[in-house]
Amino acid sequence: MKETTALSSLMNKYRFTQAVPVYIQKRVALSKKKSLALTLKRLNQQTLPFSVVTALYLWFTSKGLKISLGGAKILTAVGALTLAASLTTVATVSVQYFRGQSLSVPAESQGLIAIKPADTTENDTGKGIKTGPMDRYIMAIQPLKINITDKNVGDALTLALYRELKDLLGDNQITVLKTGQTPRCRYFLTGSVSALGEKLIITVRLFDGHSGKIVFTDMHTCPGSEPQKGCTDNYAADLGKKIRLIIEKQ
Amino acid sequence: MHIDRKRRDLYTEHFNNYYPMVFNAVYVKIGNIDDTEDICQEVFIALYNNLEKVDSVRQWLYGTLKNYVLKFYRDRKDNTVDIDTVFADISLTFVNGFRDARLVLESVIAEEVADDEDMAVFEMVAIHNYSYAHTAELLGLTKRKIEYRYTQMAKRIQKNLEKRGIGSLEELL
Repeated sequence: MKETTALSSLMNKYRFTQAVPVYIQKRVALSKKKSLALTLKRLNQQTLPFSVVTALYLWFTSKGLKISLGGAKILTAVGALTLAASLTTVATVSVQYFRGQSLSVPAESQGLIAIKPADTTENDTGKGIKTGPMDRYIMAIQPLKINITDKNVGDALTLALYRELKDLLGDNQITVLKTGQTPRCRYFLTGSVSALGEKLIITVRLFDGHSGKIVFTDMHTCPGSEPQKGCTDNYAADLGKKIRLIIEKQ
Repeated sequence: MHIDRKRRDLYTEHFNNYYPMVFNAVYVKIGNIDDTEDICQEVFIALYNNLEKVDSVRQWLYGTLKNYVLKFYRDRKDNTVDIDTVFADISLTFVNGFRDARLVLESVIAEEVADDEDMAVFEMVAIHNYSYAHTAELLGLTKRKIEYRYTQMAKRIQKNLEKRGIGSLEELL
């Protein structure tokens, strides 16, 4: 007879055995978990982090891997840090992704323009090879060409347009081009200011930054009877609204 | 609420190690799982409150659980249960060869199952008839380890009995 079987028979015969029914045996692990939580609560020693630690500690025990409570604490801390790092990564990636998709909801609620996805593809060289970085800005304003003697009028209009469009597109989505700069943009705004007698003729053109096609043109005349500054500011505001409609349609 | 981390950690480790033992010991005396859980909780709360005074946790828990079981019967005022017989030493109730063989066996087990972890395995498997799998689940050891330990204990007990002139375990059966 096998030693273990013989020993069990012996224990039984000499009344050492005090059998616990199988259905009770199955409940002891659960009872242990429940009772530990209850006693710690009654002793005012239960905290949320510690309940996580004990759950992990008892889980390892139930899997036949007895670790120390200190080990369970370290594993919980590592797990929590990993989870936090994962959540941070997911959040960062999501923010980056949605920044590429559109302005965030709070931005839209602030009245900023809800634009279509920024171009994340690259230029087609014509040989089937895509090159070049993604769009840097939604719009770049090329300072308006001044055909009058008072250069300040053109600069003031460019600045006014920049302010209006910045409010619509967001701070980081628009720039004023400096000489020699050619960043990739979805739209380029350019134009000119000319004089006709006492009148100012302002023309603007909005180009598609990828195709080079003109998507919008506009012309405005400031009568010489009004102050030029007020006229250009009003026009900048009107133009901002028109451009908004154009961009939203696209 | 003051959290005594050191004390709480020690208590939790004792709880994990000894809960099955206390549970089994109480259950075989009470026979009701809800009452058993209540008593176990009282016993462990008493352990928490006396942690500094306890030398041998196992012995202390056995002594305390006995008191709580007796209190349970007293509180119930159950006349059908004779409290004295609940914890009576069974070896005294038998005479002649049976009692002698039992005393010998008791002494051999005490000699060969001295280690705390071995004792837990022995109690669960040999006394409370737990399967290796359930024992493993409660003691934090693998099933194979439980089986190995129990087999080794059985072999040691057999050898010890051989030294005492008993050729095999079957002789006692």
